[in-house]
Amino acid sequence: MLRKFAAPKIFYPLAGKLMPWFFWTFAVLGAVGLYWGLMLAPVDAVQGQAYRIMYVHVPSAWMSMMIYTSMAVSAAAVLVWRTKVAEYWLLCSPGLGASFTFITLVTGSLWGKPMWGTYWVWDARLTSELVLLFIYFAILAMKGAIPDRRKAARVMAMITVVGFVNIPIIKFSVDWWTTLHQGDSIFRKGGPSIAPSMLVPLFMMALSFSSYYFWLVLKHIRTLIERSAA
Amino acid sequence: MTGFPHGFWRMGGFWMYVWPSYALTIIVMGLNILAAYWPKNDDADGDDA
Repeated sequence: MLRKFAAPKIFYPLAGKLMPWFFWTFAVLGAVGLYWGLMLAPVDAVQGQAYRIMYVHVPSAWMSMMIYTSMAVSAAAVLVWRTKVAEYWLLCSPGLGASFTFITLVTGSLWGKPMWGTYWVWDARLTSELVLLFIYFAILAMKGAIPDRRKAARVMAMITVVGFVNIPIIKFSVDWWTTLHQGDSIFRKGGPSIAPSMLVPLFMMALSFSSYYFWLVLKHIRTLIERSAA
Repeated sequence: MTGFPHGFWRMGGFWMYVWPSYALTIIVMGLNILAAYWPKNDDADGDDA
């Protein structure tokens, strides 16, 4: 069944139908989440206004790992079955993944200055996220360096699979090592440690960012299919 | 309030750190929209096919 949807002929119109849904989810939840996060959510007792960086930093960090995970799944499909749509997914995702990783690092840095007194420390969470950015760059470099798209996708798939080891390192870095970066405050035993009035807009922004990614990756894939057919 | 810088508002925390974070996010996400809807011809886009 999945293989049926993986055929470009079926995937192209399906993507076209899904794109408006993803766009509007992104736009509406993004607008409400921004307003709620910036205007309605209360000021944090300890961090003051600066905690509001969370509404762009945390969803971006989740996206940086989620996009990489989706690429790893595509990479497996490319290496095992040579699925065309998986190749397209792999070719179209690393730019978006690198963008979210970059946003994560810069906004985290801007949050670090007022909270920690420094823009950067070589702590396990920050360093492993920086490594993720370099892995994205390596994958993008392969895309640029190999003109044959199918060969490029296979090389990108191999790097993606090897680099996937970094994802659990990012996730569990705050548990495995003593870090200046705070530990998990949302997906943790005993439930989130954040008040619902602050948490709801965070999930809205996360859903908005996910929809943004699906909207744009589908747009990129449709362009690739159009150009292949031309 | 342990360790929190005194006079955060006067230091302009919102304007120094929060606002630039949102601006950067919007700019980068906007550039990605431009890249998706007005792609370059020399991308790995099937020229090799």
